[in-house]
Order: sequence, then structure tokens, then C-alpha cells
Amino acid sequence: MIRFWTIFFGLLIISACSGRKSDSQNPSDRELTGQIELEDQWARPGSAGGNSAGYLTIFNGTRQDQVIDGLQTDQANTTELHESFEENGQSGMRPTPNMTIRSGDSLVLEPGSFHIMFMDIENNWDTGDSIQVILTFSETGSVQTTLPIKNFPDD
Amino acid sequence: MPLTKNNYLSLLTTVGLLLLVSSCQLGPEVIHDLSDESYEVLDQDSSSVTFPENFKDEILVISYIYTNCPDICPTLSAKLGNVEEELGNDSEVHFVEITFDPRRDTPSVLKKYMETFGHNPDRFTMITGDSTTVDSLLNDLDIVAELADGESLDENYVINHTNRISIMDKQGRVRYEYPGTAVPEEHLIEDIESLR
Repeated sequence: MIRFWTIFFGLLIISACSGRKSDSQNPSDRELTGQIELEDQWARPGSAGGNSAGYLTIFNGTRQDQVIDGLQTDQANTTELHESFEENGQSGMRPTPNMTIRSGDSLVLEPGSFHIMFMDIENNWDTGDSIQVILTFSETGSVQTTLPIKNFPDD
Repeated sequence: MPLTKNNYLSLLTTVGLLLLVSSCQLGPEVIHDLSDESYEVLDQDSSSVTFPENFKDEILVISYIYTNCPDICPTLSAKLGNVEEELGNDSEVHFVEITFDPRRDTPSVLKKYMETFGHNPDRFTMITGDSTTVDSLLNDLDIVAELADGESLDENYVINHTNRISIMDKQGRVRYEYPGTAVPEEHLIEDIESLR
């Protein structure tokens, strides 16, 4: 019996320690394509001078882990990766700089979670418009993408 | 008088029935009672609103937002929009969004926000007003909103806030409260129905 519990706890410890440490979520079985792939892009409407949020899924199809080094758009004065959180019944947002996406993992930016935070936007963003965003990754450089302005992701 | 088996069963049945009837009559407990309160605020058209008196005889579905909130608040507003759509042209239910940032969320800003979400102006009212009154209303509803760490009113500030949707009965009493982003729309509709 003692041997059973020794093996059981041994396996438990090995399994707990073998988890890969990564900021990214949703490890997938997708094939590595050698590229960063961006999907399901959209951003919320906003008013000039106000804030908005952008969403997308980033799949790291390269063989290297990738750190998101920066986000840029000429449509807002500040563009950062943020995370919505809830603590003690209070909701808020905080910057999450230098997120790492492991090779083969996806980072999902979605409402109530990670998002691109656009602050002090230049003009009104109305549904039907779109904005250009540049994402810079540590190993492969920059990728430009278009975020259509929508109220809901399925619009 | 000794308690016979029959008497005992009758007593048990009577107590059980009384408990059942009393629980049906009570419904969900009152969480916040604003029935005797009166807040003079403004709607999206800058018209005066006496809250909650002007909505007497309507079930209110209430969310708490600020329009510069890019992520959580739009999710709540969209959820209310979906519930309204699901209920159809239901004159017994009204939707209210109260800003906790009246400094920036003027009536015209709220009107534009409301239009962005395609909210039906017959079914939706956006609430703002002078800060003291709005703060008092929010305080009585146990809604907390404060500047995020390191933010100041001079900047394009963001606010940490309670994430909540409430349902108020026709007498101005909050009977249901939920974590706003998490509550399923079907759950809201079910609880609205229970207050008719």
C-alpha cells in the first residue's frame, strides 16, 4: 500500500512539474506553418478621444517561442496589450506587456479577457470602418493586420 | 390532548402547505429597496428623470457602465441589447444603463453610445446627471467605481468598477443581482419572468 501511494504522489509531482510555462493559452494540435497566423480580428466602435478594444486570435505557427514586443496603430495615441480582471467583485484592466506565445500555441484575445487596448483614439470608429494594426514579435518581426469595426464578433 | 398519528400528519401537511404558500408569495428577497427614494438625473436626451419613480410599473434591467470602458461595459450593453431583442416589444420591461462616469458621459455621449449598440430608445434609458446624485444612486445600489491605480482625472482615465447587472421590480426594489459579464441571457429572462 505504501508503495502505491509513493508511486501515486511521485507521478502527481512529475506531472505538475512537467507543465510548460507560457503566457499563451490553448495549445493546439495545429501544424506549424512557420508563420504567425492571425484570425477572427475585430475592434469595437469608439469615439475620438476615447478608448476602444481589439480582439483576435494569434497562432504561433513558428518553431520558436514568440514574445509580443509591441502593438501599433496610427489610429490611437496609445496601443497596448491588456487583460480584464476581476478581484473582490471589482472589474478592471491591466497592461500585460511582453506576453509569450509558445511555439504551436494560440493566444486568444476576446471580450472579458486579453484585448488590445486603444487609448485616445484619433477619430470616431464606426461600424463598417476598419483600422490597421501592426503586431511586432520577438523572433519574426512585424505583421500588419486589419481589424474591422463591429459591435459583435459575428456581425 | 395526546397527538395521534392522524393529527400529527394533518399538522405536518398544514405546516408544509403554509410554508409552500409563503415561499411563493415572498419570491426573491429584496436586495436594495429604492421604492421610497428619488434621484433627479438626466437621460440621453438631457430630459429630467426621477429614478426610479418614472419607471414605476416596469421591471428594470439595469447595467452600470462608462463609455470609455473598452471591454467589460460594452459586453454588458450588448447583453442587455440581446435580452431586449429576445423579449420582443415588451412594454412591461425597460432597460437602464447608469454611468459611473458622469463627468465624461454627458447625455449626448450616452446617446451616441446607445445608438452604437442599436438600443431601442423606447425600451432603453441611459442615466447620467450631476456627480453627487449619480454617486448617491450608485452607492445605494452598492456599486463601487474608482480610478484605476495610477490614473488621474486629468488623463484619459480608466475606472475599476463593480461588474453587475441588476433586476428591479415594479416597486423600485432590486430583487436580483448578477456578475454582469458571466450571467447567461436565458437566466436574466427567466428571472424577469418571475417578477411579472
